Amino acid sequence: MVVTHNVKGWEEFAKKMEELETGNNAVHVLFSGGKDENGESWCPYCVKAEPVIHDALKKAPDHSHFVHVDVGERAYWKDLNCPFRKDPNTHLIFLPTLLRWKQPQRLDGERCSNKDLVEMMFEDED
Amino acid sequence: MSLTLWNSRFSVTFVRQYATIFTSGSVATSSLQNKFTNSSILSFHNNDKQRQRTLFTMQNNRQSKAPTTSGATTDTANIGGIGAAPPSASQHSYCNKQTLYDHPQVRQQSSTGSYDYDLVVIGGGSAGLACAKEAVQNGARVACLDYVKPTPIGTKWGIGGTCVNVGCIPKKLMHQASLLGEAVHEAAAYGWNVDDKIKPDWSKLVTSVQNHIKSVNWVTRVDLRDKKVEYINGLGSFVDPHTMVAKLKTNERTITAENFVIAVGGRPRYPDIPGAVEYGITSDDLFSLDHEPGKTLVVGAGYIGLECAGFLKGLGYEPTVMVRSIVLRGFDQQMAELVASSMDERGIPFLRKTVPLSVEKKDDGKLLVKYKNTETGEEGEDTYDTVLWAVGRKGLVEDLNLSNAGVNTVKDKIQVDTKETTNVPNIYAVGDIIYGKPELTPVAVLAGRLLARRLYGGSNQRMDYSDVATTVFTPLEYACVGLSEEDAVKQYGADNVEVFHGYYKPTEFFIPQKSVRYCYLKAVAERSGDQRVYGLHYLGPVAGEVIQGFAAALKSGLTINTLINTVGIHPTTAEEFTRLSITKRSGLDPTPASCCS
Repeated sequence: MVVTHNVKGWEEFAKKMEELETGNNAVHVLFSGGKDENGESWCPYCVKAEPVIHDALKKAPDHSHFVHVDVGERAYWKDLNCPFRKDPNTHLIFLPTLLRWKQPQRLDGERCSNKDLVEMMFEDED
Repeated sequence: MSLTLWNSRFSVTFVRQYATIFTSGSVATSSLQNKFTNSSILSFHNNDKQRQRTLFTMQNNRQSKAPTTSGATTDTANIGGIGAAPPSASQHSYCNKQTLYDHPQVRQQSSTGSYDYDLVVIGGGSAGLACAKEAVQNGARVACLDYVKPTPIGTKWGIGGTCVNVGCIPKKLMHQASLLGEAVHEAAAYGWNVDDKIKPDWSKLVTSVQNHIKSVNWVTRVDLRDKKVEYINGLGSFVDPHTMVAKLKTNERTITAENFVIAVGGRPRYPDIPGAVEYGITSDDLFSLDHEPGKTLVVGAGYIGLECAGFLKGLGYEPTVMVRSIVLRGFDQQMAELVASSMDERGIPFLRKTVPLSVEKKDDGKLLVKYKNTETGEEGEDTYDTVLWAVGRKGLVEDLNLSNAGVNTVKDKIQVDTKETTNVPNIYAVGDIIYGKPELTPVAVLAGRLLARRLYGGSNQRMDYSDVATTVFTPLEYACVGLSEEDAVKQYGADNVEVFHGYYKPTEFFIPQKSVRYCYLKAVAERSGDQRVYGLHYLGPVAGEVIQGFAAALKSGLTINTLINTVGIHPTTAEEFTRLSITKRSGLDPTPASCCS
C-alpha cells in the first residue's frame, strides 16, 4: 500500500519532507493549486491531473509515500519569491508538478494528466 | 498531440498525419474516430496503403533480385535530376543544395504488417533517438534499443548515449567549473573581494553533473514514452536482415522489423599494455569518478585528452599529457600547436613522442607508469594517482552479429552511402558508428532525422557532412569550420591559397592581465577571384559561440570581401574576423599594436 499524506502550505510541507526523508522508501510529491470552499482548485491542470494521478497510484511501489501538497492561493503562487519556487529541492515553475523527492523524475503541467507518463513515473526504477 | 494542431495541418499532409494518428495508440485513434466518422476517408487511406504496399513489394523484389552494390552508386549520378529540389536560397556553387536531392522515391510507408515494427533503431544516443522520434512523427511504428555495457571499473549510465552521459554534456560542465575557478581569480582584479583560498569540491561537482545527467535521462525517457517510441533496454544482435534478438535484463526477446538503423556509437579504446584495463580509466569513468583524480597522466592528445587535461588543471589537479605523435590529429596543425602551447603556458606538461609501456599499482595505491620516447628510445617512469586513456574510440560493432545480417564493416565502423544505407538495403547506419564521418552529436542528430524523413516522410534530402563547425573546449578554446590550412593547400595548391591571420587582445583580458599570447585567428581562403573562404579558425574565449554564426556564413559561400566589409561588434573577440587584413604571404607582423587600432 502507498501511504498518502495531505499537507497545506510551505511550513507543513517542509516539516513532512523532513520526516519522510529519513526513510528508505520512495516519496512522490504532487504540488497543486489550493482549493476553495467548494473543493475546487483555481488551477485547471491540477483539477485534470488529480484523478489520473490518484488512479495511477496503484502502480507506485508498496510502502512508498505520496504527498499531496496544497501550495496555496493563486496570488501566493504567482509571487516569484514564493518558497516553493525558490527552494532548490522543489524549484517549481509549473503547477501541477509531480516529482520523486530528491530524484530526477519530474512531470509538470499537462504531462501530469497523461496516464502513461504518470504510471511511468510511479513505476520507474532508475 | 493536440487535436487542434493536428486538424489545422490535416489538409496539407493528409496521409502522413493520418498514419501518425493511426499508429500512435488507442487514445489518439478513438479521438480520430469521434472526429471523422466519414468512412470514405478511411477507405481512401486503405486503398492508398494497399497501393503503397504493392509498390513497395515491387521495389523489394527488385532489390532482392539485384543484390546491392555497396557504396555510392546513385549518389552523384542524379545531381540536378528531376525537379525534386526546392528552390535554393543560394545558387552559389559552394553551397549547391541541388546536390543534396535526387529523384523522388516511392515512399516506404508504414505497417507492412508482417514485422513487429516498421523500424528498429539500435542505440539510444543522439543519432538513434533523433531518428526514432522523427520516424514515429512520420507515422512509423518504432522501437529503440539501448544498452550500456559497464566499463572495466563498473561505470554505467542511462539512455541518451555518449554525448549526454559521458561526452559533450559532462565535459562542458566540468570545463565550465574550471573556467569559473579562473574567473574567481580574475574577479579580484575587477574589484571583488575574493578569498584567494578557493578550492574545488570534486565530489560536489560530480554530484551536480551526475544529477543533471540523470534528469536528462529521465526527460529522454518521458519524451520517448510521450512520442510513442518503444524503448527497449536491451543489447541487440542480428539473426537475419529483418530479425534481431535483444538480450534483456532477465530474458531474451526476438524482434522483427522492416528496417533497421544501427546507431550504436563508440566507446574509448584501451592500449594493449600491461595494467591498462586494470588500473586505467577513460572518459567513460572520469565524469562520475568517486574520488579526486589527483595527479593524472592523460595518455593521448586528441580533443578528448586535451579537454580532460584542461579542466583537470583548472580544478587544481596536476595533469600531464602524453603525446605519441601529433596533437589534435585531423585539425589544423598550426592551431593544434597553439592550443598545446597555451596549455603548456598554464602549466600542463606534454610528454612528446612518448608511448606508455606498462602500468603497475604500488603498495600506496599510486600508479607507476613506465614509458618510452619513440625517437630516442629512452625509457622513463613516474607515479600518478590516475591514468586516463584518451587514445581514440572504437565503433561498437562486436555485439551486433552483423555477419548474420550480411552487413560489411570497415575496421570497427560501418560504411554507408550518401543515404546512410549499408550494403544491406533495409539496414542503415548513423552517428559515430559510420565510417569516415565527423563524430559529433549535431551531425548524428541531423543525419538521423533526415534519414527518418527519407524513410517515412517522403523526403529526398540527404545529410551534408561538409563544413561542420566544431569546438575543442580546452582552457583557451579552439573552434573551426571548413578546411584546415594544410587541407586547403592539399586541395587547391599552395599558390592558390591565401591565409589571413592575426593575434588579438580580448578587452576583458587586460584588467586581470591574462595572457593574450595565444589569442589568434585565421581565415583560409581562395587567393584570387572571389576569395572564397575555405576555413575559419579561432583560438580564444567562447570559441564555439564565435564560430557558430560564421559557419552559416561559410556554408552560404562567404568571401573575404564580405568578411572584411562586415561591421564588427565592439568590443568582442568575434569582430576580429572582420579585421583580418594581414596575409601570411606578406610576412607582415600579425600582432596588434593596440586594442582599437
